[in-house]
Amino acid sequence: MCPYFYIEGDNVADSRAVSALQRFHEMTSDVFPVAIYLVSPEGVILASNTELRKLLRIPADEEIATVNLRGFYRDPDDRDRMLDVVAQAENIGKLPARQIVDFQIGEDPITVQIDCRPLRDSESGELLGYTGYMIDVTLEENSRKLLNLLSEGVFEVDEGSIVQSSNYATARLFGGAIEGMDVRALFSLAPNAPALEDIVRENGSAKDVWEMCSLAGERFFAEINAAVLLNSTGEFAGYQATIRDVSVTEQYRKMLNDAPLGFYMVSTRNGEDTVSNCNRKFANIFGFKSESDVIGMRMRNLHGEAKNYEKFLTKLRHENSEGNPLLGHKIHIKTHDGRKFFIEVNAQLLHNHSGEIIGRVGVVRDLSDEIPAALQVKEMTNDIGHILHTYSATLQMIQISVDPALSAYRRDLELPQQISADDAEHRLSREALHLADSIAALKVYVKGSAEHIKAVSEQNLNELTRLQALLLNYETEVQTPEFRPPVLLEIASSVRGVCRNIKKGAIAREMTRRVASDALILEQLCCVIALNRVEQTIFEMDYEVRSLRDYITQAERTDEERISDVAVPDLIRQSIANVVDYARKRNVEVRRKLPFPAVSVRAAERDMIRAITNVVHNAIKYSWIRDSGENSWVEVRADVTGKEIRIEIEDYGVPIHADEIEDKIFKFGARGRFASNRRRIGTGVGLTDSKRVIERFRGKIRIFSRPTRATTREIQYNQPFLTTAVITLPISRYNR
Amino acid sequence: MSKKRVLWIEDGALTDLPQLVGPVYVDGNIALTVALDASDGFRKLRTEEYHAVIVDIRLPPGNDDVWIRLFEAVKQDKTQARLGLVLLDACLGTPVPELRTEPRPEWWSESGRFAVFSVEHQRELASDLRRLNLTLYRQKSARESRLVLLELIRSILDNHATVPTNAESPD
Repeated sequence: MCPYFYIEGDNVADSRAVSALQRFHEMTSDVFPVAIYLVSPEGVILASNTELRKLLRIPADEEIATVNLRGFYRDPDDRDRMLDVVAQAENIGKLPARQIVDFQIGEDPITVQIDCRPLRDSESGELLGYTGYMIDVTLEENSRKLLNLLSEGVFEVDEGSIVQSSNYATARLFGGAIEGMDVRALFSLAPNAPALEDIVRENGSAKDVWEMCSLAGERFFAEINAAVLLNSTGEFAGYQATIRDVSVTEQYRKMLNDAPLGFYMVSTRNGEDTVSNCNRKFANIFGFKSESDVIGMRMRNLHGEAKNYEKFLTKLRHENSEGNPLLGHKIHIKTHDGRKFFIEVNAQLLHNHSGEIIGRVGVVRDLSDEIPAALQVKEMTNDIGHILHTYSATLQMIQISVDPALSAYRRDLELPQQISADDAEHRLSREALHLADSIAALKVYVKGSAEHIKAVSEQNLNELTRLQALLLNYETEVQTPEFRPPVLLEIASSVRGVCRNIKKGAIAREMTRRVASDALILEQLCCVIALNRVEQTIFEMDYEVRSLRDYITQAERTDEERISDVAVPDLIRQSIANVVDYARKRNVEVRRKLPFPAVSVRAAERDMIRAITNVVHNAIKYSWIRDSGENSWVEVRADVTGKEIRIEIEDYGVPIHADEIEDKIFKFGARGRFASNRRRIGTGVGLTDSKRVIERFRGKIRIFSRPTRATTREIQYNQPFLTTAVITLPISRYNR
Repeated sequence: MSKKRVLWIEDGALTDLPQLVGPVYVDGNIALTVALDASDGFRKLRTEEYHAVIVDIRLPPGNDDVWIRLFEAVKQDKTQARLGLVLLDACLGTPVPELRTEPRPEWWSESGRFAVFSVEHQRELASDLRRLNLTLYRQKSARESRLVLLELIRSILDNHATVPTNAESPD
């Protein structure tokens, strides 16, 4: 009889019970694959099977009764904790739960699952010991710990949709443990949307993004990867799944899908490009309903036009070799449904760590609506350019027509090509006086005879007297110098009119002829002064029109055809040559501070010459108008500063108010507050154009304006200012 | 007979349109004063009385801070700013607060003394002209003769049969 198993009293004597016990002992010793034991309350092993010896690595020759289980607990307190659990379960009449405990077997830690029961005397209830079984769950426990370390959620659901197990990450995701819950309550499904379980049942697996609901009722998006579990008969027994929060990614994906641009990713293998990811717009652009229709397709087939596609790839690789993405490339495509249109592609190649191209990412834009508009703008630009060209021709026609008249008058009046304002004033005064004298002489002659007076008429005489008085007092009557020539012109014209009114033969012809002749001279002089202004205006307008035409049509000229290294001295020389006639007409001296540094800049030569010319032209235009004395001046100088060339154009001229300098002065159509004097015509395009051109070639332009006279605290703007335009450009080459 | 005082507010008077003043001066009955910007024009309107005032719509502001601010408020573009209309409103209509003049010169209420000579087509200004009760308008154009300014002045003067006693200008 086994001394170690206490049983109900009467059964001890029953030989069948003894045999049963013996048989049980035999079975537990050798057959069961679990370690079974019986220990005293203190933990000494009273009986066990072979499995226990194996599990605890107790040598075969060691007496089992000398071994105490307590010594195998890694944490000695764990035994007491475990027995507390057993006692608590016993107190409430339940079986204790299986417990996981860490053991130390020599050097090796293991984890065992223990199912333990107390053994008591059936009469006294005295604790006789503990019996139970142990299973080595080291591997399972390591897996479980690993699962709980995962940042991704893992959970298992049974065939009744109840969550059987989950790891910490799943609990964090839902805001608490979900074991025992119906998993269907955690999904925010749209009506009639298939449940995850239905898909898993049908397909054996499922992978998708689902809208979930946490225990606190908050919604989030989760990507779930589920695989079916089958029982021994092959029937559905639930599923296991991973779950991770993709709320941010999902929002981003929705945003991408709602974007009016086509985003895509291509993977390159064995020289072939395949769409690996894209958004809905990309698919739509190429004539497909959804991303899944396009993912996996060859890009070559998507584009439809092989030649254009190759051209695009060549450009992309070229830009890549220079370290740049390809931006704004327009390409004509033909979709699978036959549509042909333009798209704009912006793309960047992707490389692996060996530098090999593994794909690319990009954005495409449908230009279907824009291209017609762009073509329209191009046509309008051409039309405007043509019109401005016509205006240039018209101005030339006007100049050619005015020139002979002006030359003839200058010849008759023995006037030089350029007449200063002072000289004009003096000449006007002289001729006015001369005419007044002629009128006086005529009056004396007429008044000397009653017959002459009658013949000439009182009215004509009075008018001549009035006009004579105007001639003699015009400087007092007409305070504004600019008005004097037109007033004198009017007077002279009126005098000639009176002379025409006098009857022929009424008085000696040479008397009226002299007056008429002197009036004609004064008239011609006034016309010359007016035509000089016309000539100068034509000159200025011609420059503005040509400059405007160049500015408007520059977009139509492609950069590739125009950009090169351009020598700075040549740029400056050509710019000055463009304005030298204008400067002469405005009595402005253009000074060159030589030598100009022998360097080049990278630019479109025509545009850069125009940009610098505009600045010099501006400087001349806004020079201080001096009626007498020395000419105004503009100085052009250049020097090298580090890796840049610095070109300065300085003028002695109209002030620029401090608050206009930063950016107002560069705005299209802007005129400075102090430059609204209409003698300086202009479109306000010049500096805008210059700034754009200079900045396009990685340069800068700044304007500085300061008074020429010492000022008190407040700057006085009624004086000439020194204004310096500073253009800086990166040097591309140093020339010998 | 004393000369009629006429104010012409026009920024192109010295540069583009000086030929127009010849006939005015030679007429002999007109004492012409010219203002080249809104500041100067408004200053003259407040200090002197005129028999006739000819106003351009597109005026630069001049040097007065009030007009500069009004100009800058409309992106500093005189085409958009229409300072000539602002000036006419100050005299004939509802002035902007910064331009209120107290006491308001009595003669300002006589819209018949004012005329517009500007580049816009009359259609563009129709509602403003109606609002200000302005009936005299001439559009600047290359087709106009050099007598246009004189004709406009005479239209104003001829429409004014009675001349206020304080409008006489010393000769």
